[in-house]
Amino acid sequence: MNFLSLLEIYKWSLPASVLMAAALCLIGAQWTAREKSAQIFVLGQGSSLGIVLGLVLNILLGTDFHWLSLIGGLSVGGITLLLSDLLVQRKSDRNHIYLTLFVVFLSLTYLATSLTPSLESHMASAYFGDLATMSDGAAQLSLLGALLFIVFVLSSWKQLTLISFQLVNQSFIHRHWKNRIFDAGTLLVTTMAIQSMGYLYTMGSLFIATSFASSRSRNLQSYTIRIVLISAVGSLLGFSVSLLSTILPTVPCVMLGQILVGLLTYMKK
Amino acid sequence: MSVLLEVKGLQVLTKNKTNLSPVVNFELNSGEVLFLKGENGSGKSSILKTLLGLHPYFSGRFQFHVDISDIEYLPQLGNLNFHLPLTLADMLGEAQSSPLLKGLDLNKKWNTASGGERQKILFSAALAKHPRILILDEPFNHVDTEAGHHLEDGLRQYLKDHPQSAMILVSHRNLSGDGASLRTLEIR
Repeated sequence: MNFLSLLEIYKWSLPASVLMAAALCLIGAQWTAREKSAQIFVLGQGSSLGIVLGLVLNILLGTDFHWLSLIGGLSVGGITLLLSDLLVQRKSDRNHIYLTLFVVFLSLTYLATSLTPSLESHMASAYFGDLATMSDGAAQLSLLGALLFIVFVLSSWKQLTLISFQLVNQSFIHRHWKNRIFDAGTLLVTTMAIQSMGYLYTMGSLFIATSFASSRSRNLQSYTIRIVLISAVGSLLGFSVSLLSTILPTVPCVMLGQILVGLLTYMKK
Repeated sequence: MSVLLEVKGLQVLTKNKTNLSPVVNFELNSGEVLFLKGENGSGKSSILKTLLGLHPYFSGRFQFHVDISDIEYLPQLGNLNFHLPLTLADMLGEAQSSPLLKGLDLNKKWNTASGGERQKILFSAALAKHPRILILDEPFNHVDTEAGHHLEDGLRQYLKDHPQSAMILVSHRNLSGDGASLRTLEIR
């Protein structure tokens, strides 16, 4: 099968994964600036647990509702976010608590998977993902969610950045609806990404771009262009390379693609 | 002259009800600078954070007679470095014409700017929003004497131009403001 025919097969999953990577890198940039990267790590694991519980429910009910897992992921992810915000944020040393929560959620996810034999194979795909096997429906939903979120975030980018500065400087006294939408969008987009593209893809896309771009950019605008380029071009490159081979898995290629583009932009000052 | 803030019997506490500050009573009037003075650990900053809703444990009561959107707060700056590569211009928003910015290179990154440059930027951004109440916690820390005087002049000019506004200020440094608008409250 030639490359163009493959592109036809992946006409939804390819753009979905590229746009989702761009949406995730914008989230990762702000959450890292807010010194909350460990928290989103836990949020991701909480969402994973909810997604697995949704799958278990589907099996118990004998149904195959995609949205049941999404609702499960959003619910447990939301509770995780709330818990970690209300209970953990005020503590001065909180990383060990985040890691404990991560291990608890990981254990529960593994437990739920082990108790449901037909889900055993799900564990690997949930963590390492496979963009090639994503359904068209899931890809279209991810594409739409990522696109809407990108439009919102980029149109409010400066304001969200200044809010991030105030949050980390402990001077955030004016609650703002855009920040609430950003938080809710983070939960939604992260959960959708984990459900459709896996934990590794999601976490990588959150943090790879900003790790390369933050120290090499002249200002906020050049930084924003860099992170979007690293994540989108890197994902496109990685996905395309994986399509050229029958043995290369998609997600590791996408991650390596982002790292490669990140390195190239890092070397070009 | 109008009352912008009333504080009655306010005492900042920890979650376990340990005192973090003495009981304080004061009013803040328009056109006034309220100078909270006290030793390290006396609870000055905690009082400010409590008033702003950033610290939830306290006894007593207080009431602002202005909307929260009319309040600006500049906390102690420390040596804050920020993950995103903001330039000084990025931080300013619409405040690019403030006299405090004279001579500053606005293309300089926040993370490489000096304490004085950072404070001038934050002051300018806050003042550009024309707050009714400006709350400043140790604004002259990490600022050399000359820049400190420059900032003080900027604040004085703001109150002169906006007589309906007021400031609460915590500082180790004595202020050189005129006695008429400056009121000192000792916290101990």
